[in-house]
Amino acid sequence: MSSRGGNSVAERRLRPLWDAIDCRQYKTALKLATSLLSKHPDSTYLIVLKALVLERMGKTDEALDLCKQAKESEPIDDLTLSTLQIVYQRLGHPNEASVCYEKACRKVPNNLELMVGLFCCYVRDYSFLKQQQVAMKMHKLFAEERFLLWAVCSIQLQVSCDKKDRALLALAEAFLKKRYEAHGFEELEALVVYLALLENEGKYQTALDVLSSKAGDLFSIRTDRLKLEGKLLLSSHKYDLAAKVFKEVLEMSSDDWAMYFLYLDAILELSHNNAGINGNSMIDSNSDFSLSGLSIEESEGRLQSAKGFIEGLQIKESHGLKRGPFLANIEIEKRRFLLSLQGEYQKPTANLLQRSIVDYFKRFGHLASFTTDIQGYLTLIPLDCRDSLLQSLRLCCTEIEGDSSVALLRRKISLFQMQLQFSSQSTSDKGIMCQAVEVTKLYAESVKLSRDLDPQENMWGEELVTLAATFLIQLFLRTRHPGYVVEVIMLLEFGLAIRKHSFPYKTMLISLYSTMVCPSLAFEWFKTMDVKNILVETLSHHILLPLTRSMHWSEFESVLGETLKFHEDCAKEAADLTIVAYKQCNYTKVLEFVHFTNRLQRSHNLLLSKIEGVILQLREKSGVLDDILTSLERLEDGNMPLRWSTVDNLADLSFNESLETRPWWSPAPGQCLLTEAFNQQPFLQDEEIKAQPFLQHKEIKAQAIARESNWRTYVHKRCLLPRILHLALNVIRFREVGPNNSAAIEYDNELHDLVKKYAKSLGLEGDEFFGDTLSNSFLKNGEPSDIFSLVLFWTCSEFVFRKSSQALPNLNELAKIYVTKLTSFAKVSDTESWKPSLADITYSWTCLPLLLMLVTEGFMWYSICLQSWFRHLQPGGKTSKKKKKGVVMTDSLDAMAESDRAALLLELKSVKDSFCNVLKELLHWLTNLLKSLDGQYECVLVEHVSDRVDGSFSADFIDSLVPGTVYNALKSSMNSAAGTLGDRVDALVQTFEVRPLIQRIESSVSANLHKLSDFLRSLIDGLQS
Amino acid sequence: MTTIRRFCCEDLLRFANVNLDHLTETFNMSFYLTYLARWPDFFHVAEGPGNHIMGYIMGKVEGQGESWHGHVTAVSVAPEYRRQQLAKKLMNLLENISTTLFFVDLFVRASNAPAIKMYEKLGYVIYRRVLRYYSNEEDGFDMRKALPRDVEKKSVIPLKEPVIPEELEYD
Repeated sequence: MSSRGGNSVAERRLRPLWDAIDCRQYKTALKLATSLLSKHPDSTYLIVLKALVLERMGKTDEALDLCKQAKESEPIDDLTLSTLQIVYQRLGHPNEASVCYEKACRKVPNNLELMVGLFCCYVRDYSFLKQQQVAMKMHKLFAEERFLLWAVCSIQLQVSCDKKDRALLALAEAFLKKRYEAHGFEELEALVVYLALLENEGKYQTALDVLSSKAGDLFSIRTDRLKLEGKLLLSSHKYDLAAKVFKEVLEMSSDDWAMYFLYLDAILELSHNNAGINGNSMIDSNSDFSLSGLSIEESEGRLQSAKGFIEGLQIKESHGLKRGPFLANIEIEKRRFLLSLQGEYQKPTANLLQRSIVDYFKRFGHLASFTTDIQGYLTLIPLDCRDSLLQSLRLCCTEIEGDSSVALLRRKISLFQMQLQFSSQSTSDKGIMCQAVEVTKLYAESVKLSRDLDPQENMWGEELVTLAATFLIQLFLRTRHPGYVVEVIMLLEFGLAIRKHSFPYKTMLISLYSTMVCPSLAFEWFKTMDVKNILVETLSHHILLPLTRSMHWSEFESVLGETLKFHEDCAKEAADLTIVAYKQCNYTKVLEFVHFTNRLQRSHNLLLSKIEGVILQLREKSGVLDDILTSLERLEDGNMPLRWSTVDNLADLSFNESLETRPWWSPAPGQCLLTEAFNQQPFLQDEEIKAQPFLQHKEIKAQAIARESNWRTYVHKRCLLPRILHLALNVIRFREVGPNNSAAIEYDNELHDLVKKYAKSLGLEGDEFFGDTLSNSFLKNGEPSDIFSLVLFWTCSEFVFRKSSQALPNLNELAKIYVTKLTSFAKVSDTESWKPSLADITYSWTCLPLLLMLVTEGFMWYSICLQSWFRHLQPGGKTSKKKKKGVVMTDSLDAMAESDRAALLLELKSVKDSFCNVLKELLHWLTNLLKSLDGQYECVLVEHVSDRVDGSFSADFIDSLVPGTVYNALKSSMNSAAGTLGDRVDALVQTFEVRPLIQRIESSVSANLHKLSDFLRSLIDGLQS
Repeated sequence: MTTIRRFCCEDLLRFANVNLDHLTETFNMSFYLTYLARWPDFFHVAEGPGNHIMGYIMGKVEGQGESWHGHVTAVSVAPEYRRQQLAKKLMNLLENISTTLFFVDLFVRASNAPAIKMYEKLGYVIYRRVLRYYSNEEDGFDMRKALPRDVEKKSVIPLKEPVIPEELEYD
């Protein structure tokens, strides 16, 4: 084709085709493309456009054929090539586009457009070395700064992503040094990249010299330049100078919190190893005085002088809302206190720290952020000083003059929040109840004060409901009275009826409804949070585990689907956006994007969603063997998930959940103080968490490490399942092939090995634990479904390869034990309905999700294994011969003696019948339970929980310590304020009823269990067919 | 006590407390990344003690000639940091990034009275109504504030007639 052949068609002829594509009228576009091609058969561009249209229409094979045709004609114009690149990219063959550009660049050397096109192809391929080579070549030819920076970024990416030798960074630095010395920099971003490289090499002085040169003028915001200068001085241990610079910044910008930390670190000569020029360095105080070479006295003196400086800033800000200089005072007192721990002056400094908090309270106690601001300092207050601090704050509330009603209310809220932070196990139940009543009354008052606010605005006292919820949950944890949980639900639902957008209420409700086995209600609230795009990654944890343990599979599927789609879209779009950053000369963003994309690709949430999606597909088959076999086949006989969870992949997982949005009683998925341990919880319970509620959870490092490690184990366990299942389903085929057959040995070894890994994920090492699988000590090793599945898989191996005759009957026995345990909370029969004690109700919250998992996973795997083995043994049920690694596997029936087969069938039949009976009994129990629930669960809850919910309240109720008291206090306060709350709220107070709420809880539990019954039925049908 | 710095990708994983607000839109990733890639100076985050994200502003520059202006795509503050003039601080930051701009504009739901009130306090005026601007068919207001370069304040003379989204000059 001629050099211009790619784009030889006149634009006016192409216009209708472009328009049709833009308007997504692909049928029209295809007609136009075909017609134009008939007139211009040599136009590669038209061929590519037709391929593009076909791809959009889903005709991928035809599109690929046309791309191939275009590629063979070796186009050299960028329009054709860039369009071809788009089509190849969409077809999943981006490397083909790189090949086309490479050829074009060879044919037309030194063409900038084509070289940029090639560079972009390499960006899309994440081929950092090739990127560098092309960029260097462009820089050599065209001497533009941007191409040099493209090359430098490519080098940085090789080091950070491809783990290339860090010495390469020196090369990048040398490139920029040369550029800087010869021409200076055109762009601020180029300067920042150079400074970051110098920092990386520890060349702080050079960086400072560059910054103070003319190049530094590229900083248009003066404080940005100063901040960087200060950081570099701090890194190079020039503390005096650094402090001076930070002071200068603070004088210009006295609210800059990060600067206070750096300033104080500088005056105390606390070293920083990294200025963090390029990174998003977290603000953190450096209070490790061992890093400082100063004496205690010297440090104390310097902190005193810093105090003087900060007081000066405070005077300047005396009328504003800038909290910086005032909070900095607490930070200084904190450091003085910590310093004094090394000497003998603890008491006075502790007093000063308290006084600084009181001062801050006087000034900002009315702000919603007060408690968050000082939260980090409260843990330092000695236990014996806490009451006196609270007392001082209470006094402030009464002494401060000029506070509006709103400000006073806000101050009281801050006080309650602090009280909560300081709360201890020694507070009596009555004390907690009193606080709960007090905050709800205050809430009623806040509703009144908020009546003129727009309904979309946050109310003045929204936190009061979460505070009341916290106190009530504390009471629940002490008494295990389920009524308190229901009461919290009532308060939160009422709060949401007043202000429908408060998300802390919603996250609490999701957790509580999940606890009470009401997944549909939890999901309803989750949906109202409009969790989409990146929030899917950070917030799905609220609902993923509850849905895993529910029968609401379509909802579960939708959440999983959204996660997968989010990641798929990110992976598709990321490289193109990196190209935008390159082209816009925002080099720091290039690195950031690649690292971020990488982080998302390693997402734990993504892996979890992938494997849970796969397992859900298997569960959904309800014991239909052929469907399950097809699903497993699609997963390459279960090998695919194994590849997802290699040691390296697991080690690399990134955890992106936003856990601070979780309620304090459930700080991470799988950790919930409300449900009781059944044998042993799957995740670690932290005693500290148990002891102390908190407003905003911040995990300490050890907790994060433990949580992440547990999730790695969990996801690994799940990824093993499909492959083990595949092997387990096929064991019969190997039983009589012969113990010395290499394929059988390999098979046996693989199964044995995977079962050991599965056991290890439950904390069991070696074979010794399998001695007595029915013993209590063995059963304590995990959740019923996991243990049952483990014993099943181990049994497969034993039963088939070692011909243990007792293995299967033992499995049935295990099924019976678990069913007995998990149904023990409800004694129901044809004549006897459920009359639960309080303990029965709370125990049901633990048992029902576990029972559900046992049935839909453990029992289901067993059921399909039995079906599969039967099929293999039935005369006429021969499986096709399979060739495995060169060995022809004869069908089991060919090799198995007829008498053996008959005996085995007999044995299996007996086992199957016995298991069927276990399932039938369970179904029978479930049917009776459902009958009991119908209308009665509501009565049970009303009786135990809201018996007293009638809106009346007297202080005597507090003494009786029963659930309902707090809700009554609220309703009573609201009723007495009727007429002052605004029409909408007034009407709501009159119409809000508890009974419909409890009916919904009952319906949700029932719906879940009805689905479980249906599942059990289909499992039984499958076994009997 | 607010550290204002450039927004970065990792902040997307930490801003749930801001974006759970029902009036704050969570855009798709390519939208955020496009802003970061093209206008990183117009995308800032405010961070407070304990590294809590207090709020953020996301904007861009566009237009030609006397229409060269800054546009506020999103400004949002977490509930506990409201009523501290943080939005004002973030808006001022965007207004002062460049002296070349003639005005700054933004769109707001016609029903979002608290936000409209706040923008008015910051010197913005309703320039025009955009019919059915939002996906739920709700009207939007195009609000503007003239910057010093627009000496005669021509950019903020309100239009009498509403417009439809197709008539807007920019996306």
